[in-house]
Amino acid sequence: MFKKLRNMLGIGGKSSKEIAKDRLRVALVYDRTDISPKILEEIRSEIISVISKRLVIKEENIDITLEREGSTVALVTSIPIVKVKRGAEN
Amino acid sequence: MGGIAIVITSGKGGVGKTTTTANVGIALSMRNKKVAVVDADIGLRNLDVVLGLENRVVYNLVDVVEGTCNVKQALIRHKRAENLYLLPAAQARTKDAVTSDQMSAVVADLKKIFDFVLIDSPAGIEAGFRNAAAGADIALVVTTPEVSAVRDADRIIGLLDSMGKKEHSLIINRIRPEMVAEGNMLDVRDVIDILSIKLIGIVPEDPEIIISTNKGEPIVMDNNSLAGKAFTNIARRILGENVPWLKLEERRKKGLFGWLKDMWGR
Repeated sequence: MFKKLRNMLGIGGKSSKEIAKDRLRVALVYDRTDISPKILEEIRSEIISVISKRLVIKEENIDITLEREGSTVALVTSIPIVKVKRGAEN
Repeated sequence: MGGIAIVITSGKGGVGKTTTTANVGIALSMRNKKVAVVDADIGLRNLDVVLGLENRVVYNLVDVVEGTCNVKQALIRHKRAENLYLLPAAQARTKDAVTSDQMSAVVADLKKIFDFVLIDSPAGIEAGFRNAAAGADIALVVTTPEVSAVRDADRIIGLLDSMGKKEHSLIINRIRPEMVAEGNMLDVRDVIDILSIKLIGIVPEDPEIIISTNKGEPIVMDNNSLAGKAFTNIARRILGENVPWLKLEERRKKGLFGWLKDMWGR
């Protein structure tokens, strides 16, 4: 009864509906991205071409993944740098 | 020209596809449209019992596809809703008894005779679903306000898109207003936010549905039920009418705390 009252007043912890909504949001981002390794591969080659203008990088060691972080899904990439290209400051 | 074919689908089982097909079909027929309802759930025939027509099944969908009979011979006319005809599923067969092309051909034939062809899809994302969707012009996706059903609905919407079926809208079934008010059930806006799809119907949970299914008399035939009104509204929206959404909340139950919460929420 007290819990119900708290929910009605909108104070206290998250309601179960809010929890459901957050969980669904994350699950669906993951489900939807799950279908396209092809798109990840395209993102990877586009990132390489942008970064390569400024930096010399180890292309073969680039790692791109989707990771859950709390209530969001993040695109996480690790790009090993060999050196900064001369004149990259301009 | 001919009629419009509508597939009723969901991904998850048990969310109310068959009940929706039967009720929206009857509601359309009561508005003077000629309607065929097709049970595409081969091997798990159910639309016949929900409509109260189980004793009159002679031929079925697979008989039509295999040429045992023609489509008109297999159609069963409803006793009370005289504009409604059922094409039953085969019970003693499996889903691979029909191909997508065969299904599309049957639906195309029916569209020549009927204003609306409603196809009740089986649960799942396999061949049965694809066959049911194959001949459809538009899709109604049924879900309930639960995480599993909403997630499966999202998957089905993605699959419909990939099949080129971009015209789809959502029915949220079995809403329990008292649980929504307590913050313990996803509300209509939450589900629409998550799925980003057009809404065509909201249907409250209603014990009368079980009673009407027990009798084989779809609830739209009973003028006083809220769920019946909800299904009739879906039919009216299909016909292009602009129908206001049913008020599901019981206002008097809101009381002081509900009022306080509203103030809090501003």
